[in-house]
Amino acid sequence: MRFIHTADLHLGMLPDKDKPWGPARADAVRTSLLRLTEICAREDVDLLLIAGDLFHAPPTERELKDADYLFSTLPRTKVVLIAGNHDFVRPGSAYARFAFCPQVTFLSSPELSSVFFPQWDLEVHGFSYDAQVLTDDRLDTFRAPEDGRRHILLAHGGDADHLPLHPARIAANGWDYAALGHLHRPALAQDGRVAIPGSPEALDRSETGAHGFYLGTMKKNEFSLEWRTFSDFRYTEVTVNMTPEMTASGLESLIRRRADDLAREVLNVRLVGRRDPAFVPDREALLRIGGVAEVTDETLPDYPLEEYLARPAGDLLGRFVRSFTEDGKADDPSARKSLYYGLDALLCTAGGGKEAIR
Amino acid sequence: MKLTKCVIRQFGSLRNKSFDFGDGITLISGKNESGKSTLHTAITALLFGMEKGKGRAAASGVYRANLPWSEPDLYGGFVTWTRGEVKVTADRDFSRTPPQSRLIVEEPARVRQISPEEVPFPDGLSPYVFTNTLSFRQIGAATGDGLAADLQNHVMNLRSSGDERLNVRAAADSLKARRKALERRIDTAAEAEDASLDLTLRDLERRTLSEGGDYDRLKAEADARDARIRELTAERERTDRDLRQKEALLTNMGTTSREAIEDDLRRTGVLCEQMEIYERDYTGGRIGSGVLNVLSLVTVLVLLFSIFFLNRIIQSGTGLWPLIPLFAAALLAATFFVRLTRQADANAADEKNRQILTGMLSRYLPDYEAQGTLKEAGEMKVYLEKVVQLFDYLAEKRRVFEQDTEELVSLSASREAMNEALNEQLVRKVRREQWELELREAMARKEALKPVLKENERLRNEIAAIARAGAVLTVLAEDASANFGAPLTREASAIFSEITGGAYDGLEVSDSLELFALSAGRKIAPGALSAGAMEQLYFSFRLAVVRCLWPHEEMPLFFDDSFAMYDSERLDACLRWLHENYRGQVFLFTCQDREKKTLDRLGIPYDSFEL
Repeated sequence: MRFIHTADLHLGMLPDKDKPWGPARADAVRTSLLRLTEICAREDVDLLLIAGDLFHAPPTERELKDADYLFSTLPRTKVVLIAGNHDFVRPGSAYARFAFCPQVTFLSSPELSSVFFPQWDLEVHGFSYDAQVLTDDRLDTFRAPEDGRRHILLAHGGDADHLPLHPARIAANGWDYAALGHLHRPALAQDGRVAIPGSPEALDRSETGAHGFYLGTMKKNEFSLEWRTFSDFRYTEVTVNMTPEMTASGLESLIRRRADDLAREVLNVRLVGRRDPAFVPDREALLRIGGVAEVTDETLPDYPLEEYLARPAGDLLGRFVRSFTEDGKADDPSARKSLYYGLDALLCTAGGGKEAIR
Repeated sequence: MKLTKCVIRQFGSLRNKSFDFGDGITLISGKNESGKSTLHTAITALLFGMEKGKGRAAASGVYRANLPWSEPDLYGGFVTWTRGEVKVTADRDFSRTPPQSRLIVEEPARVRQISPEEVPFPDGLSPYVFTNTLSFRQIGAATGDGLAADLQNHVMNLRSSGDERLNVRAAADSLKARRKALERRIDTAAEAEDASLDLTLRDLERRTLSEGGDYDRLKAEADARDARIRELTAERERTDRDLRQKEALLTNMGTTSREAIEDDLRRTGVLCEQMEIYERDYTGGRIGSGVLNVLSLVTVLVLLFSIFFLNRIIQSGTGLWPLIPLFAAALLAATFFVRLTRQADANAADEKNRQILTGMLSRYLPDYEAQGTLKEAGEMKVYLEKVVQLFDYLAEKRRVFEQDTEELVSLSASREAMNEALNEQLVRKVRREQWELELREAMARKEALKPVLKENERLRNEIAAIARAGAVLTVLAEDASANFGAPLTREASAIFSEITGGAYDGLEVSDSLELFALSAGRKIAPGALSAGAMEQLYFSFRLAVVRCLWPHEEMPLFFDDSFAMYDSERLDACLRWLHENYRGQVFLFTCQDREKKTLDRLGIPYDSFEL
């Protein structure tokens, strides 16, 4: 039995809609189910597992009909799906009322329910969200029945607000395979018995790297799982290590070169290192460079903190720096922020001038 | 810090002047416009250097004001001071652009030239501090809020940083401005919209859950009902047509009475039965009638013959056995007779039956030429049975028709109410779908607001970080003020009490560095003091500030016509105090000879320069 495990298609989502590549992203998300069903047909897939958030929001009847039509075109693939925290099933909603075509099993109940496929001696268990937030630990506690059948757990969750889970505990509960969803980056645990495929398309700038799905094979005494890339689009993080000598033009030119080198990718630029205190990178200007989606400035002004700390006990700068570095505060990002704001204010505005004093 | 020498090549009205300063008091006297203040300014400029300035600042600046009228190339001079065993000479040429300095440090072991940044001034000494603490020009005029704020700032900065360019107040103001700027960037409208969307979502969720859920069920029921109505209507039409056809058929038969038909059927049955019997028994079915007649005749003849010969037979003595055939013949004859009689009756009855049959046939089937045969009777019977069945069929059809009609009427009657309910549910469904759309839009809008809210959160974190930086700065400033405040007040009180000859118990310094004289437990604001007492108050305070700022180093003090407002008693007290208590240099710039006379009268040693 060959199966595809996917999740978090988020149909209806419009990533980066204010960016030049936004329309292409919207198209990619919109057509992801179509392309997935084409893959199912091409690869002779027996079972398509969708572990929640097929839709970006509780779907309308029209959206359901659209998805159902695509499912109905599958010549031989059975589909089992659940609702996640985004497309949760509200009682009385279109999702709750909708009747899918026969090859689709929608495990719409908030309680664990299952569908049995005698041809594969396989039972797929799952449940749907009926609210946007579920914080209990049920995923760690569900146990697979000990009846000689094979059992797959189809579930959505993995963070504090959405059914926190522990892969080891899930695997210990007897599931042959736990097909999870919710997190948008792929992850495998317990020798591939617990898997999160991530979203087939990158949906957020933070979702760097490849996106795809798992193609699995389940035979009597055989199980294998293979990762397949689905999207050729990707966000890439580019780290720029700044130096105190770097200027605005230098930085912009550097990022432009990187954007040109990675023309097919969208960049998340992360600025790190030490910069001239008088030079604060202009985030808005950098965001205007083509292909740059996000700019995160983690640079620190190049102040000689050690020198300030070495000053006499009563020294203002020394005392100020000490206030934010002693008692383990040095590792506190908030304290570091305050430190540099204060130093900027003390040193760069001294005497009303704009000159940075080292 | 001790000034040992000052040489002025050209500076304002001063030209080729050289001063060697000693310890204690130095009296620099001269008439108005003789250059006292210029010398004061020149010492400051030579000590700390002087910027040329640009534009309007240059026009009104110290540099321009003191640019020599003649020989501007010599604009400058040098000053020498010592700190312990270190001697520093600052030779400044203000004629160059930018002004050039040659700074020499002579230490016991070596002599070296240093950069402006390396000048070993006492901690915290700068032109700004020099002008505001060591240099006493118009004491009273320089006091007030501005002084308080400046002093507080200087106290903080000098005591802690040693760099007057670190301006805690400016830093705090800058942080405040930065915070305000970030606060302005917080999109509070988005937050309000998000909160409002939460309410909207809750409301829409509540409404959609309670609205229009029965439409689909009702619609299915209504569809089923309409289908049933259509089905019943069609059925009724079919039945109606059928009934009409069948009834017309019956009418054509001449009767529509089931009883009559049944009567006829019964009669036909009897007829069939009778005709069958007749056919079987009287039409030679087993023995032909002709044979029977012949046999009857023979039998009768035999009987007659036997009777004729009866007597002979009896007398012949042959016994009675010959009577047996006779008896048989008689019996046969009787039988034949009966048989013939019954045949006649049967024939008559059969004839009648045939007539009846023919009549019935002609009644039911007028076009049929009836023969009145048994076969026809059988067919008639079958026919009539079918007619009866037709009646049954019609009866059943009528019952069904009526039942359908009843159901149709009932369904039609409920249709209006049901449609009304359905319409109402439809309206509610449309409304719910509208709400569902609104719900989706609200959720989408909430989703769209997330980046804005995230940015707001980031801004708030930044604001919190700025606030924390500001708070720490404030605490450090307050700490410094608190640490500095008590000794300052003690020192200033002691000086004030002493120079006023005990007229005042001391002074009090408020948190904002406002000064009050203390007398007999009363706090007296400077405005309530005489001009002289007020000057003494500030004099005491400024001296205390100097002592507190440099507790381990005697700094030179510069009094530029500072005692003009003092009466002789106060002047005595001040000069005496300076002589007895202050170990640093004291430079008295004056245009009057009051200071000189007082010093002479009090026997206080001093150096003197006349300008």
